[in-house]
Amino acid sequence: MIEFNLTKTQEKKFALMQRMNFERLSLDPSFALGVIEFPESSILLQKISDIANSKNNSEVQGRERLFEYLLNFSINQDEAYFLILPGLLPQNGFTYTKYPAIKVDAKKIHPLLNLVRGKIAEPDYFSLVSEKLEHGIVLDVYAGNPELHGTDKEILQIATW
Amino acid sequence: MRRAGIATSSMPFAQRTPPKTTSGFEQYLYKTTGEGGRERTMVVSHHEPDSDHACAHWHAAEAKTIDSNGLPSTFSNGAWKYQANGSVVEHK
Repeated sequence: MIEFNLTKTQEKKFALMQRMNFERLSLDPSFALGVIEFPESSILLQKISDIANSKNNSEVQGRERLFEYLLNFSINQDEAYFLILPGLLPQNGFTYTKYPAIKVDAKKIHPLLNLVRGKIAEPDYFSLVSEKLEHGIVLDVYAGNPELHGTDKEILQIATW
Repeated sequence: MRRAGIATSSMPFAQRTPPKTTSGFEQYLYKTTGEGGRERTMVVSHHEPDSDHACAHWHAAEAKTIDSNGLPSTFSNGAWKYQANGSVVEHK
């Protein structure tokens, strides 16, 4: 069990910030089966991150194909999925509080992704993971490290399982 | 520094030379206040010349994510990760 050791005030602050980030995306609420609130959202993100880090990741330069990877990910139409969206506000000193998390019916994932695609010009993170975390895809964008990537330009990391 | 919203008079709250990196690579962390008074953690990195830059240079960009220890997440060589598209200043 992950514990964050936060005060009630800090928890409220992070929950508020994450809610604001979701609201700024101005998505039709009917797309989501539910919004995962902080701190549950960060616990979920940490679990997803741990799984992704344990898998063989690949890295490509540039984020242009991010939505292509996401839309090509094979979805089981009978399941619900967790979708972690990129945030619009800067993060605020805590793991992944920038990223809103929602639960989505499989049939609504592609229409929702196409809607988000029109709203976010430069996404820096996405993950789409089945409800039981049995399969998923994580896409993470960051500046390259010249010693590791031979460039400091943006790198897209792709983890699938 | 100023381009990245870091006052030149501000002091870093952490610094490191990751052990698995080549000489000349240094990183510093600064706190700044962003939109709506939100605190941001900025990573300022010094790099030697590389394929993208003919001279030694500084990068300044917001940390990619902050771990529960309050520090940015790291690459396998121990370097702090930061967002793409930050400011770059080359120097002789």
